[in-house]
Amino acid sequence: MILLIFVVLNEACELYNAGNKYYAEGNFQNAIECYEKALSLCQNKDIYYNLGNAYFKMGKIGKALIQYRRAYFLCPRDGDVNYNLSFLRNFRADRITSIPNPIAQILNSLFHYFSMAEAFVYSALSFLFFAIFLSLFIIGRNKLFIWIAFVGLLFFGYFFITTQVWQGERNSNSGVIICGECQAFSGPAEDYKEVLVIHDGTEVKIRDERNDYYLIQLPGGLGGWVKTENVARVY
Amino acid sequence: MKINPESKIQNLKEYENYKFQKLICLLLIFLLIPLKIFAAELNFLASVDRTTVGLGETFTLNVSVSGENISGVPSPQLPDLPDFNVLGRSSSQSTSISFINGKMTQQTTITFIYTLSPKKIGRFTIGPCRIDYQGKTYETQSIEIEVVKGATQSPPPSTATPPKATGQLEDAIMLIAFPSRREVYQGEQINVEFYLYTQYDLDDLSLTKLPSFSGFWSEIIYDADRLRYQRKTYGGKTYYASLLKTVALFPITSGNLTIEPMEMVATIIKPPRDFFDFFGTAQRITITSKPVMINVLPLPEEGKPENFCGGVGNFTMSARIDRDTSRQGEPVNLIIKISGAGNIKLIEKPNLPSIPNLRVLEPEVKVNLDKSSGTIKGTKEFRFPLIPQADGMHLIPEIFLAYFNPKKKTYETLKSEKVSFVASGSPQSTVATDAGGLKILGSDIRYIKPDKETIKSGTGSLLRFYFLLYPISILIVVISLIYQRHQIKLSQDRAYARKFMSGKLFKKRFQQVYEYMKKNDQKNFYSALSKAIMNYIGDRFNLDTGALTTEQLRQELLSRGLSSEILEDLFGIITRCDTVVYSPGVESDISMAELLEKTKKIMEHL
Repeated sequence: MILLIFVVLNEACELYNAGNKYYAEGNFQNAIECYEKALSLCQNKDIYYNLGNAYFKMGKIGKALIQYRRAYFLCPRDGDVNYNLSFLRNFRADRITSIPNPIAQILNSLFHYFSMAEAFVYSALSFLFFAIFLSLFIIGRNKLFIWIAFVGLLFFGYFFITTQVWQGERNSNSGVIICGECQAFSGPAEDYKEVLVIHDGTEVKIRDERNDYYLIQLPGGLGGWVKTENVARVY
Repeated sequence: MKINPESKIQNLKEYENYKFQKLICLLLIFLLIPLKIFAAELNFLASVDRTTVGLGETFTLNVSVSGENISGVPSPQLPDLPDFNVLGRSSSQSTSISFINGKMTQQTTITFIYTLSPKKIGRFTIGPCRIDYQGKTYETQSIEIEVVKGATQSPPPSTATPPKATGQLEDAIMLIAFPSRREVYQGEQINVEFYLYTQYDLDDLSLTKLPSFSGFWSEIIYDADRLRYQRKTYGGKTYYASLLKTVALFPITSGNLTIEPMEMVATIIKPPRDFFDFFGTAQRITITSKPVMINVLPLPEEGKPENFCGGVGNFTMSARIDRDTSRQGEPVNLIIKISGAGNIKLIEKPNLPSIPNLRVLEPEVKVNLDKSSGTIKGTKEFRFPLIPQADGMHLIPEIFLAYFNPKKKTYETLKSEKVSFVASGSPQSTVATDAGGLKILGSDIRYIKPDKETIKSGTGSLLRFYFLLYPISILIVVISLIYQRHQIKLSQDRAYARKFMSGKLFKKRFQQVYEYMKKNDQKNFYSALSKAIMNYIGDRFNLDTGALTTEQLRQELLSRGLSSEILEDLFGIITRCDTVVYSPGVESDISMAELLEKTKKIMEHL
């Protein structure tokens, strides 16, 4: 079993390195194929990141953005991922300028410091820490231990909220427009009135799905029905 | 009109050529008459009225199209004429009908007339004119024009003007242009004053022709609303003189420029010659000023700075910014103000150096002139809207602007101060850098991550077992709680404490007993064994064994739920031990090892 996992990871690594070689040569189409195969074997943020780069070099902003967001999900502290993500968000045609609330911004960066996987492990570890010091307090009746245990509990609370934030994000039906330019209609068919024209790389929320059409919503609140092939889910 | 003999010869030659060509054409036409369906033949010719023209004069270019049944002929395309100004165009059409061999032919000629004037001196070529007609392109031959200095021909006198003042009158009434200087640099100011000198009373004065001042930028400084006569002498005679106009002129080109004559019509009222001539005589005449030549020196090419703006005079420059901060990409205006005396209107916009992260739009230009002192002074303001493309401090470096100072006869360079402003919240939020140092040429995504030796799955293997930590933590707390309760009981419940300790103490005593057996010390062995068992029972059931008889003990133990068989065995061992201890000489019927085994068995059941 372990051997099998090892073999799979080894293959993914080779595919990743092959993709890097194609990328360096400028053969982005082949690089994309390699990275995609590697990702089917193993989900690693570096593969997502490099795949995003390859898509961007092919001019596919939306697809690149999806890969960067997946990489961000796995490692939100990666500088390259963050840089390219903000670069793409400025690069795309639809720059939806909403000035975020500063408090929300601080909270957002606070609860996106650790990735979901890290937060799960750390919340369990901080709970263990809390339990150990609580037990020490029960046995030793030393007031210091209860304070240390309290700190552990605070950490547990922080990590637990972080996991919930990530879970919420993963379940929020985030999508990205992946066609150059597409129309949004007022209903799930082409006969309805055109209400929006949106471009590659715009991040939307998928609110509903009705026969080959997604009801999408932009951060500002605008929305419309877009063909499913023009939108890709992030998670 | 001068005619260049060479060009005449050339024209003759051309004419011969043309004749010959025409002959051949006619021949061909005759030959091709049966096939003459394809197109109407066109004659397409260009000619000029003269080949030698003075600078500032006009000449006409006639382009004629003639042929049979030409209807809908388009206007010919003139060649590019970089050296000439096209002043006007007109066309005329004439038709002649003739009968040849009883067949009517209709010959139509359309002439397009262009009025041209040369821009500079030299030999120029008017390239071929072209016309596209019924799918064919016709071209004329090119014409050479020689442009010479000055007028080769005086302008034709206007027919409707009254006769010129001649003879005696010419001396008595004069219109004189007084230039302040006759030799200036290109772009330097000259003031020209137009004076009327007269010895007669004049009436019904009107200006009929104002000089056009071609080759100059002119600003009228003074324009007389009425005549204010002063007594002045000119050429030894006394006149009444009145200033009509003062004009400031700035030559645009170099060379000998002419200030064209000014023309005026007036009625002279001559005083009565004798007593009988009551009213005197009135005579209407035209008065013309003499043309004035100005020698315009070109600006020295030597030492001409690259950022020369065309300014001649004496100027100062300042640069400022209308606000210090820009939010969300608001434009900031860079105001460059040039002020001073000179050809201020002709100053070109200063070239801004390329500033990273700033988009510079075309400036808005404002000119303010002050003519009151006789020299043209004023300010010219260039407002450059700057749009920040990045956040941070934007530094606009010094701007250099050179002008020519005709008094010192040198070029001087003006330098503005550095100005800066801070932009925030601009759409692209990259950090701006100092204009002098680092240069950002563009931005791109970061490069891919390097190759790897091994790869790890993003979720990690640790994650699979993290949830086990929760039950472990809870277990730890539960254990500690149980332990804590036990500790409390130990300190508060004597029976619990004795019972908890009983096993440990018995083990200790049993070890002692074992030691005695090894030494084969029978007496101590049996007494120690009996003591160990009795103490254990006492601890276990919280009884004071020393104060109870054997029978009482048996009853107590029975009431605590011990079976009678075990009790039998237990008391059997105790009595055996007591017998050996208290009755010397009595030998035990079983060995010490056997007894120990038996005790162990009973204890396990207890």
